[in-house]
Amino acid sequence: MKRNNLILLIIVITGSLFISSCGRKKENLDTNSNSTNTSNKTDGSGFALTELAPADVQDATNGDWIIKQEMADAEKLNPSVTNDATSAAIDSYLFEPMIDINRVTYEIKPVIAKSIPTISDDHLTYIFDLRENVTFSDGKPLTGEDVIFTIKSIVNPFTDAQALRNYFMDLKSAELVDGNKFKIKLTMSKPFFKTVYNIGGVLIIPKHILDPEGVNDKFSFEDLAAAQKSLDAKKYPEMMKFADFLNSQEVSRDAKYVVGSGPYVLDKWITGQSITLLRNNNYWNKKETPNFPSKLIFKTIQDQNAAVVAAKNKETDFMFVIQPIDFVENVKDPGQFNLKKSLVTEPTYTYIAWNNKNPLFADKKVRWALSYAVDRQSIIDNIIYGMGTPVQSPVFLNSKYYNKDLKVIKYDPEKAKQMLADAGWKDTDGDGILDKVIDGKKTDFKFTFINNNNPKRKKVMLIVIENLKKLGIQAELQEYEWSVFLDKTKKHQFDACYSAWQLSVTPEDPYQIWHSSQSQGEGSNFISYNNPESDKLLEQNRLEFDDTKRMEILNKWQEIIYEDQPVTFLWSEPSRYLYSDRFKNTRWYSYPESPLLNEWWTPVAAQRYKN
Amino acid sequence: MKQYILKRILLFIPTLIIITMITFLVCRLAPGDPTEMKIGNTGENQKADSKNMINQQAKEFYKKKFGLDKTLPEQYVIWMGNMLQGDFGNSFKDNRPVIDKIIERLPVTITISVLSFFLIYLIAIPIGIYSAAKQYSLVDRTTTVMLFILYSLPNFWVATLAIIFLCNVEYLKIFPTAGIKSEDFSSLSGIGKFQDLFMHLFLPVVVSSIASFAFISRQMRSSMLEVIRQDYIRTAKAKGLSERKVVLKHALRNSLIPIITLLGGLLPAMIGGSVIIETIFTIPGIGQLAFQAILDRDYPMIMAELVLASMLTVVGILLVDILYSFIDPRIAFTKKGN
Repeated sequence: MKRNNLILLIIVITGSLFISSCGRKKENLDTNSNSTNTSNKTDGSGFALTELAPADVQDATNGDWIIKQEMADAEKLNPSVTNDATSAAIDSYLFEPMIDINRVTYEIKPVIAKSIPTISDDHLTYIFDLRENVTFSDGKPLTGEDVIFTIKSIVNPFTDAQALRNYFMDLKSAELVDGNKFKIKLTMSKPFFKTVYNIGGVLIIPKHILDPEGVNDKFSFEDLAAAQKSLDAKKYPEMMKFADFLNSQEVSRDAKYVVGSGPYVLDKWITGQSITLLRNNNYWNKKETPNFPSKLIFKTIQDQNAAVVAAKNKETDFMFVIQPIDFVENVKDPGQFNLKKSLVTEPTYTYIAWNNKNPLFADKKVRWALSYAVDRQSIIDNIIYGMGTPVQSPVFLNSKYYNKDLKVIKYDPEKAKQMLADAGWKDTDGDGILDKVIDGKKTDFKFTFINNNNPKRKKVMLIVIENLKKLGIQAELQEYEWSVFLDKTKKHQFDACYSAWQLSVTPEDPYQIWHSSQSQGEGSNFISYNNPESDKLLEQNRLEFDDTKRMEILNKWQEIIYEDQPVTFLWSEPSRYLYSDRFKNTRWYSYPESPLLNEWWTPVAAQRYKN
Repeated sequence: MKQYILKRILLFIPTLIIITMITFLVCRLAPGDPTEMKIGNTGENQKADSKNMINQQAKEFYKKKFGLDKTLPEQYVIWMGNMLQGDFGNSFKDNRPVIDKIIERLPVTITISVLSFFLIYLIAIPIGIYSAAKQYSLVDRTTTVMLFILYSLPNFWVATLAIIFLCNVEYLKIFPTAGIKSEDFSSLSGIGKFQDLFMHLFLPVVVSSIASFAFISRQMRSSMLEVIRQDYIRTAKAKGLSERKVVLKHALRNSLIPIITLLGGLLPAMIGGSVIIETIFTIPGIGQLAFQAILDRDYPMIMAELVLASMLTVVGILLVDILYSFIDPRIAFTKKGN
């Protein structure tokens, strides 16, 4: 018996040694041999951003399918009530807005509208002239009545359209001009430079399908505003009834109701598995907006590993949310699987938020010290394989409003130490932790980061914690479920956290996040940043319609933010894509969810799916 | 017997009430706000565009709509009243009746659970019997070690490994990566459909079962061993009956009691599904639905799933008790000699 025990022990020890040695090898990222993308290096990260190729539609042919992997199933496809990313992505192929944004120049591109809308001098009246040949996929014409109907469906306080309703907060009325079905006038009660983008960008839904009896004609915009104030469903039964209908699942899932004017139509939706779109053969705008693929299939694969395997297996053709490690190491040679990789700068940035109300972070010098104390480049190199560009401002780094004169704060722990000492933080009790007398009490520099169970963010915070430890600051990390994390940040019950914002390419309006009024009532200014100078500039910005003047205002504002360091800006991380190499005309725009799959085509010989 | 069953069913009512009350309380008192989730803060990369002024109003509206502005006891009574009439309410997330969402996903979860159940018993019981009959033999010891290894492997790890090595064009591509059927399922023949489902469900079923092999087979083994030591078994052997008859005909029947006990836990497990397996293999099942409902604070969904799970647990236990009395006449629920 003793011998058997010994053998067992040996097996166990050798087994565990073997398993523990299976670590991850950190290889040197020599990319130019692997990556099939060229030029435009980032700041020495070694990974090349993908250039925007010129259009290649000379010999474009119809056919083939594109299967895009999605992390989650869509929730609702009716654009008025939709709220999740997958639905929004799919809706962009089914529905169209009056005006869109040119993905290259970021200028307004009229779609349903004929031209850029006419704006009155007081910026309160917007007149949209619509094209007269726009049709829904069932052939019926799209007119100003559909636009007004769409707006009413959003403004109706009982529909699930709250995400969009914000944009119409100041809308007084929307009506046809002199009964002309192709000319609409929208009247606002307050001027705002983003109105034209917000209102013009709404996706139009069909009145003849969703409100054939014209129930909405009975409510005026005054009625809707009154209903918004009272929120009493009993007083507005018809409004409520229509809202219930619009909110219902059929309207958001059934191909009978999900009808738009876009290049694709909804074919079928298998819950939790996939959504199939077919080419709209009656599409009214094929000249400007091609729709080469016969089918666009959005396939749900929730597990990252399974998704990468599926891409390698050719079960999917396009993958968009890829972890840096999979992008770099799992698909080292994409050509082996007939895949290509792409790295595109999109308007996001990450940052470490300091609760400005916390006495530890109240002093500007301390925040500057913290910004010097974070080794950004090291984090970028180690956690995201060098695929990131340090930023210094909350404005999209590729936009014309980005203040290029602001210098990136380089890692300098000595300077940080000095600044902390200047701010009165010294280790007076020799315990290795800085302390200071605040409000008569000796306080150690200790605080807690909160995280939402995101493993990548956790790694970042752990490195920051290490950086800070060297200076005598003791930080810890606490994990919370997403909804609790949200709760805590909104109620300002936190010390610090790591977060990210997604920006838009339309003109910047930092008001929501940075104005002091937005820190009340669970607003987006959850760090409670308060600077009257900044407030003034933000208010000015909103009312300024002259682009050059706005650039000046924002430049100055960015300097103020830089001075204050209310958060420690980290980096802008490009989006990573993996896609089949058989597609042509794959253009990568510096725009959220970069490519337009409808303009990709496959030469007949390379097509993988027929009909 | 009938009286006993009736008594048990009546006992179910207070049990249900207590369970639902506790869950209800825990749900509502937990931090996290369903109205917050409704107004669009569902993504990590929050849009810098959302205005918050109207969001407050929207939250108020949802509070009213979901009945969250009433007091807790009121909310509970309303929910209970509706539930007894069969109305479990609409999901906060997409307004669909909660029952529809559950029923939509039920077949998949049940299929996987039932198949998994058969697989486990098919493999575990014979192994258990063999191990007991040939105790300490080489086969017994090797299978024991192997089963314990399987038991210790975390099932999500095995699932991921399975996908990487068995679904991958780099290694072995035998099975599809995700989902329960292929894109072109409807165009397949009858046999084709069966094959397609088989290939898709094979890995999830197997991965769900591996942890239980060890458990069930050890149970079987130990209860068999206990029975084999009994005197009547020795008598049977002395009578000259073959080993096989002794083990399979006499010993087995008497050692089934623990196995049947475990069956009782099966019913709720069937409906509970496994979030992990379902997520990794992208199976649209109930486990995932329930988990997501908790994350979204989708109260009607959470309560409905709970009622379903607890009902099935109670029914399962009851069925098991009844089965006992058939298997072992010594177990009686009614007073003898009535």
